[in-house]
Amino acid sequence: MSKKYLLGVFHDEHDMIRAAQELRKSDISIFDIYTPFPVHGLDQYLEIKPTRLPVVTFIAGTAGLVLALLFQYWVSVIDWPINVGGKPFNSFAAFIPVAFEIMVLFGAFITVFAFLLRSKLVPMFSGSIMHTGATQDKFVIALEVKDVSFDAQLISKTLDSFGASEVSVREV
Amino acid sequence: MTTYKENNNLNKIFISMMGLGILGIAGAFYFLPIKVWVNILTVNFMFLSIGLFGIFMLAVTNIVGAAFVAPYRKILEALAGTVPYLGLSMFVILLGAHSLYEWTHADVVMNDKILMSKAAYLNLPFFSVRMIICIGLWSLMSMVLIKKFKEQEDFPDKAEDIQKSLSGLSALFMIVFGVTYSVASFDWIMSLEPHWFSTIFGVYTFSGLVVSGLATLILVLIYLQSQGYMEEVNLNHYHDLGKLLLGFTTFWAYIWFSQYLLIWYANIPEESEYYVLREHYGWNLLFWANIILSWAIPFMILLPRWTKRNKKVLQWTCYIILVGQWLNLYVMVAPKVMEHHGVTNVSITWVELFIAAGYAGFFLFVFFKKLSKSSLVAENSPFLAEGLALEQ
Repeated sequence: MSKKYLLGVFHDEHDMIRAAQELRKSDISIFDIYTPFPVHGLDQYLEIKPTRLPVVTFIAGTAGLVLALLFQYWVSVIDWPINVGGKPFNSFAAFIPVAFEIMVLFGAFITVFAFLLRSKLVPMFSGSIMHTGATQDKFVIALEVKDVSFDAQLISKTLDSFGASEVSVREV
Repeated sequence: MTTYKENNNLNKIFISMMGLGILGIAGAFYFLPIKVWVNILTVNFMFLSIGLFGIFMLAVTNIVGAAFVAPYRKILEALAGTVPYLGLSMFVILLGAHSLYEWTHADVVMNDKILMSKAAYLNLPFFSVRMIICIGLWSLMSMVLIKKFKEQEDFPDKAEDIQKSLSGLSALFMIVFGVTYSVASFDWIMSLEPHWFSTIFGVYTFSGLVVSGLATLILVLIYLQSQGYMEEVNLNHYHDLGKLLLGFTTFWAYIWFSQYLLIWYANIPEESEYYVLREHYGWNLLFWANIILSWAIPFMILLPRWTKRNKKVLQWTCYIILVGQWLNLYVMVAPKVMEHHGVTNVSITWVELFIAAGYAGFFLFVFFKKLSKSSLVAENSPFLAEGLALEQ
């Protein structure tokens, strides 16, 4: 099912921020803002919930840590005990560097994959780009066109008045 | 309010804390004289390090042109300003050198092959000279930094040039600081066990310096804001400091483990005796408590975003870290010295508490005196606007 979006394209980030502020002031919810580089303080205009990605990272890291410790214990105590310099088989201190690395590995990879999955960036699916300008030098505000209570004309005017270089509608 | 006015009630508290410290020293002399020197060395070194953190942080941010410290740079200057005073009081340990340092006893050195070979370095005259050089250089660095910043305040049109000359000077300061701080920790703390050695020891004490310095900085910032000063500092700045704190507590744990793992793996008697002593005879409780207080608890607390943006949580975390860092130094200093004086049971009593309180009072008294000397806002710093506009 396709949805319609109204796009306001800006040359200047400050103009874009001022427009976003104005839209929020008149209680119009913004679908998303696309920028070529991170712009600080955008979150507050976007009504997006805080990301849950840190939770994924924490669980993945903890899983990596525990798995690595268990695996090393199994290898060096149960499956194939080797006497190394008279140290006990279960030498916890020696397990820590490996466990730390596996923790970082799990945490990093699973976070990246979780992010890609959640953003629907998987192979065989071509993602859609709202406006190619946002990948280069343009700042794009996208508003979802709803059937009721969406005054496209008024919003277009507002966007124009803040110096939007282009206002268009796009179906995705 | 842009200038800090000295608070008389606060000064009274600090002076009574110093009184407690004297009481603690007297009590220790009465009950267990060796505790006097152990505690003075531990606590004085800790607060001297917190002062040195001011120099370190100012120098680093000068070199890289970091703007994020600009809003509270004056606190760092005041921290640096305490260095000459804490440095001067450090010389007290020369009086207790015979109690603290085994290598000062000629008869022990004569009968010990290892100590004989180290005698060219570990002897009291050379030790004192190194101490004078280290503390002298630190005091000089602190004075030069403060003087340069003062010039920047007085001559706004030359602010940029002064900042430029400061970044060059700071690079030199960093090298001097790195070498002297290593030498000082080797001399004052590592040589308490003259047979033992660890090449990473300077980095280890340095990691403690950054952690306890950051905790102190955050606590002072929270206190000043509660008194209505520094209103322009906001949660974004705390968030930044919280992240640094999280990073450096982990850095501390990393260095702690690096030292531990290598010694545990190699298992050479003269190296592993250090940890054998600390994992037995009642010291093991403090030994592990140190890691829990200095790293495990702060790390778990500071992981989420909101805790770094909550002053109350941050404040309590900093207290925990400071206790942990005190324990860190205490476990470095006390075990071997106490053992030499026939004390094998661990006893942390009111003496420890009182002497720590005394030095804290002394440190804070000097710190707030220094803080009241000039405006709290580094108005002519070329980084101030950028630092205030910080966003997370």
